[in-house]
Parts: sequence; C-alpha cells; structure tokens
Amino acid sequence: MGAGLPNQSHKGVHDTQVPPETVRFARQRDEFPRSLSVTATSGHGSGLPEAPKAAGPEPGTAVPGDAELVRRARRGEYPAWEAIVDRHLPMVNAVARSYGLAAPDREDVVQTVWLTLNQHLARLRSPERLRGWLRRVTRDMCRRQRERDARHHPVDPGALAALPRVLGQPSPPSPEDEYLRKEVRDELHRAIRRIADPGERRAALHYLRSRYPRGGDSVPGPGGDPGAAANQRRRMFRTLRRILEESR
Amino acid sequence: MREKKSTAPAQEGRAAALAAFDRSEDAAELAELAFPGGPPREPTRADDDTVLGEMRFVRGDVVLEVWLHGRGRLRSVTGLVQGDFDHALLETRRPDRSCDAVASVGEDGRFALRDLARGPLSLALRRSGRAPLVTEWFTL
Repeated sequence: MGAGLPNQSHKGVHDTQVPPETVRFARQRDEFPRSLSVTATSGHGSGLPEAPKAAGPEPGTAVPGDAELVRRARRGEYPAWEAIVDRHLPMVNAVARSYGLAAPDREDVVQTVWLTLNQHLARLRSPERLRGWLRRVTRDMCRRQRERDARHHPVDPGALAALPRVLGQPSPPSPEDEYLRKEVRDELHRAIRRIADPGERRAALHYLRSRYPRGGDSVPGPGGDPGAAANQRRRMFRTLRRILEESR
Repeated sequence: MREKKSTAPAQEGRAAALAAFDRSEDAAELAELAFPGGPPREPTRADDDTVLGEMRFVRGDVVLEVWLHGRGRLRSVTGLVQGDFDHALLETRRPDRSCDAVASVGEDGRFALRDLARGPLSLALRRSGRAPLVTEWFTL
C-alpha cells in the first residue's frame, strides 16, 4: 500500500547544517544578471540532461551556487527563484518523462514539485543539495501518480459498450437484465394462457420460446406455409397486445 | 494550471514553476506528508468511485488522514482530522492561490470535499483561535 515508499518529508535535506555562504549577491531583481537563469548546474551529477547554457556570466563574475540562490529566494528575490527553476527544470522534466506518465499528469506532477519546493524553501537545511532533493521529490511524486493511474483507467463509455462485440464475445447480462427478462417472460406466459384459439396459443408459445428460451426448451422450426405462418403470427401479436392492454 | 506546449521539452512547465514562487506562507504551519500511500490493495465495492490513494499529514498533535477518490474526470477528497480543536474548516488551495471547496470538519473529525478538478492541491485547516495549518502539495 505504498508503505515502502520513501518518506516525502525530506528529512535528509533537513538534517545537515547550512554551509557558509560562498558567494555574495546583493543585487535586486532588476539588476539580476539574466545569464544566470540558464547557467551550469551545481554539479550534483544526476546524469540527466542539463539546461542549455546561455552566454555565461561576465568574466570575473561568480556563478552563485544553489545554496546562495536558495538563500536569496528565501528573502523574496524572484530572480533567484527564476535561476533555480532554469537550472533544475530540465532535470525535473527528464525524471518526470522517464516515468511514462500522460502529459497532463506529468505537467501536474512537475508543477507540484515546484510548489513543494516553494513551500519547503524556508525549511531546507542543506540548500546546496537542492538538486538531489528535487530529484527525489520528483521521483516520489511520479511514483505515486503512476500508482494512481494504474488504479484508475478512464474509458470511453462508447468504446466500452462495443468491447464485447469487438472481441466476439457476448456481454454477460447483469442481474437487473436477468430480472427484467424474467418479468417479461412471465407476463407473456400469463397472456398466452388466456388465448382461446389453440393454433394462436401454439404460435405464441413458439414465439415466446424462441425469444425467451429457458433451460430445456426446444424450439421447433415453424414449418408449413410461410405465408400462413406470417398471418398467424400477426393475429397472435394482435391478440397478445389486446390481452396485455386489458390486463393493465 | 496546464500550459500550452510552445517550449522545448526541457523547459516545459517553466511558467507554472515560476508562478509557484510565493513567500507569503513561509510562516504558516506546515503539515508534512508522513504516509504517502498508494491505492489500497483491496478493491472498493463501488467501481465508479475508486479510491486512488491515501495519505497522512502530521503537524504536532494534528493528524490529517486523507483519501483520494476518482469518479470520472472529477476527484474527491475525504478524510479524518485528529487533533485538539472545537470547530474547524478545511479548504482547498490551488496553485493560483484560489479556493474551490470548503468543508466543515464534523464532530467526529470527518470531512469531504467533492467534485474537485484534477491538478495540484493543498489543504488548509482553519481552527478557531489558531493559525492556519497547510498540508504539503500533492497531485489530485
């Protein structure tokens, strides 16, 4: 029941100390270098495709690590968040795609990963291990989504109705269908017993057994003149209809 | 919630990821996911209301047991809140900070949020005289 799934509470990241700040960034949003949004990763070695590198920072400009970006994002600096997204989004997308989820489900999972990071941003104890944290959260969410998908398969009702015919197998009648069928057969039997003419009664019984066979019923062929049989069947239908209408 | 595909696969979801940034809830109490369970092994009696998963969120003495249900395209969330409070409301939170359903938590702690759209979701428990308690985000 999923009890073996890794804990989503992200304790591993919370349990270590925040490393000393290595790079100082005091610029505000408007001053944030756009090139940081797609620069190299923090080097956690996922083996997954990385974000395409842009022109790179100016010579002599240090690229902030994940820890610094997290610290700045905690202070509400949107460009730092943007840099985090651009640095790690390709990895998150690659992990999500590897689970073979339907596109809408994958998009929901990826969005949930970023919402979760935003929620935990102020609580991360090892922001320098952000990439590993994101990878683990993405995997956990994808696994849960895949388990739910396996439980719930949306099916087009039209396709479902046609399925037994496609497979060449009759669909098994439901208990409700069986009950209604028995009701119709019993009412027709009662009506046939009230038919006075023996020939019409035999034709009605033949019709009934051919349409509503029971176990052990044999249905002999009509035989005789086809035209006369058709006339007798029409008379039988008229008589049955009248009897059924009178009994209501 | 779901953006149009006009970007490279590696950059899919960038707009939604950027929009997730919100520092207004850093001080909120967070109920963390303690049991991310999948669907139950036993099939449910009603095939048209499938239990898709169950989760447990914990914050201090407050425990939220949550069951996710699927019925066609819509989803429902039912569950049980355990904790020391007299009256509580449970409301949904969406990525755009909107709320699409509110349920009162009964005296026995039970709640039900029905006819929810799919997508990322978080729950906020509002108790009288206490700060709101929000759950981690999960996908419905």
